[in-house]
Amino acid sequence: MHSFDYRAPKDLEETLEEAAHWGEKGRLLAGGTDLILFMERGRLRPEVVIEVPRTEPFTTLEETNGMIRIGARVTMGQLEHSPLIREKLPVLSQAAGEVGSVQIRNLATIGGNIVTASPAGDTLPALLVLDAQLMLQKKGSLRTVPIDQFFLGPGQTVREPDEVLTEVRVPVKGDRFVTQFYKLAVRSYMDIAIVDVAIGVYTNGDGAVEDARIALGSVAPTPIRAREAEERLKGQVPTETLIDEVALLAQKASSPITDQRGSAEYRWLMVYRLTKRLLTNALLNSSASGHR
Amino acid sequence: MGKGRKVSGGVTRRSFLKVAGSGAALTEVLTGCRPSAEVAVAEEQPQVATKVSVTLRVNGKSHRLQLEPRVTLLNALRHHLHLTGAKPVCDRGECGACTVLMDGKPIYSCMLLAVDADGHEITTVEGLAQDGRLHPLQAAFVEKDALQCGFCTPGFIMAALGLLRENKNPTLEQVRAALSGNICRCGVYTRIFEAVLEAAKKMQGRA
Ligand SMILES: Cc1cc2nc3c(=O)[nH]c(=O)nc-3n(C[C@H](O)[C@H](O)[C@H](O)COP(=O)(O)OP(=O)(O)OC[C@H]3O[C@@H](n4cnc5c(N)ncnc54)[C@H](O)[C@@H]3O)c2cc1C
Ligand code: FES
Ligand code: FES
Repeated sequence: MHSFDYRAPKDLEETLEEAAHWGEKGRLLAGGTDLILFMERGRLRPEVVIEVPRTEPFTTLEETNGMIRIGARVTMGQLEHSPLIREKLPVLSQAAGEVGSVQIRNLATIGGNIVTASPAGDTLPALLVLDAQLMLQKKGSLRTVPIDQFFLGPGQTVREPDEVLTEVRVPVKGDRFVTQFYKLAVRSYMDIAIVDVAIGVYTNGDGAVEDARIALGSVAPTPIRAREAEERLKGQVPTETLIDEVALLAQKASSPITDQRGSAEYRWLMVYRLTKRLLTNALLNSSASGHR
Repeated sequence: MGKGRKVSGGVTRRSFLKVAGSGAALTEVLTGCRPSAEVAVAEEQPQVATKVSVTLRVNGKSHRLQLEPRVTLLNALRHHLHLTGAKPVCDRGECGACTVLMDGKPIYSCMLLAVDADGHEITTVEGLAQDGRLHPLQAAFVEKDALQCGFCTPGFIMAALGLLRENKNPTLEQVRAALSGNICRCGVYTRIFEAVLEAAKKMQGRA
């Protein structure tokens, strides 16, 4: 690894100061599971590494006014086990629980997963389904970016070098919003996704879909939402034919490539199969909870 | 990693050459090179970062170290504290041989900067035996013959300890999931899982 200087700001204010001072020469460090590796391989060579402090708001994990606030330094392990997240945002808890291994999840943070902006970041499709809002702060300004407007390409985002991700906010949608997540990988543990699919459907009492989210990972330069597929569902009481049509639209939204984990064709087929399966499960679950 | 460009006594190669460069004769004596060429090479070397003071709390004891920020916890344990239980194998978070506990939770020590471990409680395999008596997990590994070459063993034991701290009575499936971040090149997995289940029983006084 190259040599670098290290800064350990004590709180948010000091972090913003350091980020503003070093700009592109600095890099924030959270769990380090991406950054250490990138530095080890010489892909990133920051002059200064700035530790994201383990203080609020970076460590916040709470519900306030129908909004779940997740600090950028909350780890995958916390998301996996937190009773709040398991109950209110099971799709995120499940996705976080699929990241790496126990040892990785005890270090890896949600902020790191988002800012790394890998097309295969497992929490990202879940966060897309949940309409997560990203709080980006720099000295003297704060902006909120909806997660579907954050990613530009592999490793590329709208974040400016001096902007710090402080927290992720997720509106709680209630019991009628039913979600599903599936990570397809070669090994059942410790593997990068071939395809990630996350689904959320909001049905009314009559079984018609009021709103839907279909998000895909590892099949495009960024995690994506299959918007045409989502639109096709809206206002409809789903039938098998409709679900099939929606799955085909999800497939159309993807633009997979071939790599050592899977061919483009395989990924493309799996988007169809998994969307169909998850959507069916979600609708079954929502009608089941409707009868309760 | 660990290729700090240092000459003895903690003086960086660069600062040393800067000082020594002012006395050409001294440089020639010490390096056997002509000074101008050596200084030119030295200028191309990356800037060596200032060391920082780090207090590592390992197995209940505090150690004050002066480290370059790039030193990982794994290298600090091995090269500075001479605790060689945590093993470097992949050095990239994939094999688990370097697993230690931080505040009771298993992590890969190759993926954490030592400076970042400051203020946290680190437990390595060296901290398990008490008064010369093996920890029940260690004893179970011996009893079940859960190793061949043994290079992966400290990592597996620390990952298993992390599990048993949170789940006193795990199922086989839970053991497998908790140890999925550890690789055994000799393939002794079955016996490792048996040893962990056995240790869980012993630790609850059920065997
Ligand atoms: C063995 C291994 C297996 C893995 N498996 C998976 C997997 O299955 N699924 C998956 O999705 N990922 C996986 N990863 C990747 C990685 O663990 C995750 O992306 C993780 O969430 C990164 O978080 P971190 O806290 O470690 O990030 P860091 O490495 O600390 O940071 C990552 C990037 O984000 C920036 N950053 C961090 N925090 C902030 C902030 N608050 N504001 C602004 N910028 C910030 C950093 O500057 C850096 O560029 C794996 C990695 C390893 C080494
Ligand atoms: S050496 Fe750290 S995980 Fe392999
Ligand atoms: S016993 Fe040899 S690697 Fe596990």
